Order: sequence, then C-alpha cells, then structure tokens
Amino acid sequence: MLARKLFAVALATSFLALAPSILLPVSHAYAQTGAEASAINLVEKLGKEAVDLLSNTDVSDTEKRAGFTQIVVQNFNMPLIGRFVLGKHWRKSSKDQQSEFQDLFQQYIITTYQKRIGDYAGENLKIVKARLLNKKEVLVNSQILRPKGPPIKLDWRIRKSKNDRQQIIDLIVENVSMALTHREEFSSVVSKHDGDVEGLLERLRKHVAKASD
Amino acid sequence: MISLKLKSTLVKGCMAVVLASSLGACATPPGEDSANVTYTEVSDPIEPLNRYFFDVNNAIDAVALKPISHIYRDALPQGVQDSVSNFLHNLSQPIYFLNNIAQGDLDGAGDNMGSFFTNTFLGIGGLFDVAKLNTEKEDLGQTMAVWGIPEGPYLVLPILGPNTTREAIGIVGEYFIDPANLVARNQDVDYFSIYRGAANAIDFRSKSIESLDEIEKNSIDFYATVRSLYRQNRKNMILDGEAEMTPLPDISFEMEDDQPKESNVSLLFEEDDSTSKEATSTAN
Repeated sequence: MLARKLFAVALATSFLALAPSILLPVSHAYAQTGAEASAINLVEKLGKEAVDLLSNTDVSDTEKRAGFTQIVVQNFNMPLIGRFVLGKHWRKSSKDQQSEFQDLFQQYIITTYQKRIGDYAGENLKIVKARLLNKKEVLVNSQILRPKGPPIKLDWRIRKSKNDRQQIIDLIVENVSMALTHREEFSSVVSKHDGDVEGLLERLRKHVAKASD
Repeated sequence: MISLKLKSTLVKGCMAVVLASSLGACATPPGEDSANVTYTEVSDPIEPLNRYFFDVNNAIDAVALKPISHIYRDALPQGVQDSVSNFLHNLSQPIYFLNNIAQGDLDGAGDNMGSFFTNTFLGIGGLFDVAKLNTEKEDLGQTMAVWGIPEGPYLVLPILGPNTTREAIGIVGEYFIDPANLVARNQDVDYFSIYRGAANAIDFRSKSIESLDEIEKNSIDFYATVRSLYRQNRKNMILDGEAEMTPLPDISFEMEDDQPKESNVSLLFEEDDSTSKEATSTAN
C-alpha cells in the first residue's frame, strides 16, 4: 500500500512525464459550472502542451527546459505556492530573501519535476471529474492509468487568482499534498538553522546548482 | 522445553508492556483534535533521536534490505513476487477483519472475510488473489485513531522505521492479537513474526526502490519529507482514502490575513463556512 503511494509520489514529482497520451473525457456532463469546466480545460491543456513539448524529438534539452519553465509559470500560481510553502517563515524574511526564495523555489520545482521526464512512458492521464471547493477553488480529480497495477489518484487544486485567471496551486497524489510536503520539508530545514531562512536559501542554492549540472 | 518457551514469551510480553507504557506517558500532547480529521502540524519533540535512528535505519537499509530487495526483485519472476505479496496480504486479512469490526466498518470487514476465505481456498492458500476486492491495510493504530486517540509525537523506531506513538503502540498490541501470530504460537512455529516481518519488509522494499531513491535525491531534507509523507499517508489510511473527507491544506489564509486559523492546515476554507461544516460533518 505504502509502496504504491511512494511510487505515486515519485511519479508526481515527474507528473508532466505522463506521456505519451492524455485521455480526454468524452463529455463534460459533470462540469455544471463555468469554473469547473474551465478548470478541466486547464488540466487538459496543460497535459497536451507538456506532451507536445516532451514527445517532440526535434527540440533540444535547453529548449525543453525553457518550454517547461514557461508551462509551469503559466499554469501554476508559483508566488502563492511559494508563499504557502515557506509558511510562517515568510513574514520573518526580508524582501530580498522573499524574492530570492521565490526564484530558488521555482528553479527547485522545475528541476525536480523535470528530472525524470520520459521515464514513465505508457501511463495515461484520465480526468474523472471536477468539484467546486469554494468560491475561488476547484478540485479536478484525475487518474493516472498504468499498464500494470491499479490507477493512481491525482488531484489538481485550482484557484482563481486576483485577475480572474485560474491557476494550479497544489497537486494531490493519492491524497498526499505536494505543497504540504514541501512546506513541512522546508520548515524543517529552517528550524534546523535556528529559524534562519538564510539556511534554507543556502540549501536550495546548492541543490539547484547541483541538479542543473 | 515448555517452560523455556513460556519464559521467553513472558519476557517478550513484559518488554512490550514496559515499552507501551513508557510511550503512553507522552502520548497526549495538548490541543490535538480528537476526531483525527484535521491535519495538524507535526509534533516531533525527540527529533534529534529520531534523526539518529532514521540514519541508522538508512544505513541498515543500504547494506542489507535494499540489496536483498534488489536481488529479490530482479531474480524472481513477477508471478512469484505477486504470489508472495498476495500470500502476505492474505495472512493479514484476519487482523484487518478484526480492526474493521472495531472501527465499525462492517462492509470493509465483510470484504476481508470474503477475501480471506476465497483466496485461502480457491487461491491456494492465498497465493493467488481470486477475490480481487482490493482490501486496504487496517491496523490497530488506525483503529485507535478512529476511536479518537490522538497520534502523539512522531517516532522513528529502530528497524521498524517511521511511526507515530499511537501506531507504535498499535504494532505492539497487534503482535499479541493478530490471529496469524496466535495460530503460529499454538502450532509452535518459532520466530514466525520475525520471518513474516522480514518478508513484508522485502516485499515492500522491492516495490519502492526507485521511488525512494527518487524522493531522496530530490529532497533537501529527506527525513522531513518522509515524515510528511508518512503522516499524510496515515491520515489518508485512517479516513480510508475517502477523497471527499480529505483534509486539504488551507492555502487561502496565507495571502489574505495574517493570522492563520487554529491550525495552519485544516479543513477550513476561507469564505466558505458551508464547505467546512459539510466536510466536518461527513468526516465525523
């Protein structure tokens, strides 16, 4: 059971590698409201863009990375996620630290999630349904269908930002929230450095530098 | 001979009770929700010790469990591995059954019973999963959670790995009530639970080699990541994976106001009381 979950989490850290194909839902009968329908569209579009980019053999690695960065920045509300992930330490940090953290966090996410692209060929993403959480947020339930073994539950939490654009704010794999996992991880690093955010920034700098070698 | 065996059982029992009671002393931190629905911030007062055992476990894993699991996974045909998984799972159905009864989940208990008899008789002693009911693991820790016992501080046990205090007590308790263990004891099968534990460990590890490597490589604090994954996974298991009840982290407050509500992470969604009430009432 836990083994499956660990697999799922690892898979989520490379969620965009769901290539080669995305199963699109045949009808949108369950999406009653506009918000739900557009949230489903967002996930679908994201999947298609990623597949198009990653399955294209003519594109170089640097271009892939640039394209991937663009997809992430467009579809994920990185400032909000970053702020949530830093949690209570956000307010204690200076403006410079905050902006450096946001920058590093984005690089960290992109390197982490891009790493194993292409490793999970043969898995399909199937969108199951969308559900309104509150006025601003929609949860899109989807499944990763695998050639072997039971499907993995993958939920996308989507939130309408100030300019009325919907963006993804969390990925929930088998009910394990990625944002929460990163938050607890980062919080632990800050605590180890006596509550100094600088320690976390240093760790992230090293990690990002090592990963992009 | 008999007296020797009795003595060893007695010693084991006493050790278990001592362990359980010493853990119990620190099992109830203040302010935890007794319904066990909301995801609270981690309580890890003995973190240095936990980190020490985490490293020890990783070292043991690197020299023993991981290589064995590698060989196991690569050398044996998939069918054999599946049968081992099925057999181990089937062996645990009676204790899952008892736990489901204790949790009041009669449907789940029925599935356990159906699975056990079908797979034991038609699936040749549990080697094949004929019933295909996808029964989930139900342990004493989950049962205690359903009863409202708080999870207590996080605990990394030597060999056994990540736990919370409640789950650790559950493991000890389960050793004594698990029907499979009782049968083995009655039949004078020596070291049954050690072999079974080892088999379970290899079964688990062989399925998670890449995943764990991946998580370790990508995290800047492996200990904290595993702790978070473990606790979220436990929470999910306690709620039996019901998506509608899953406590989602409350991201909203981070942007709008300075004071997080009671806990940083809860079922509450900003601006929408009906959602939180609805979700809480379903969960209870």
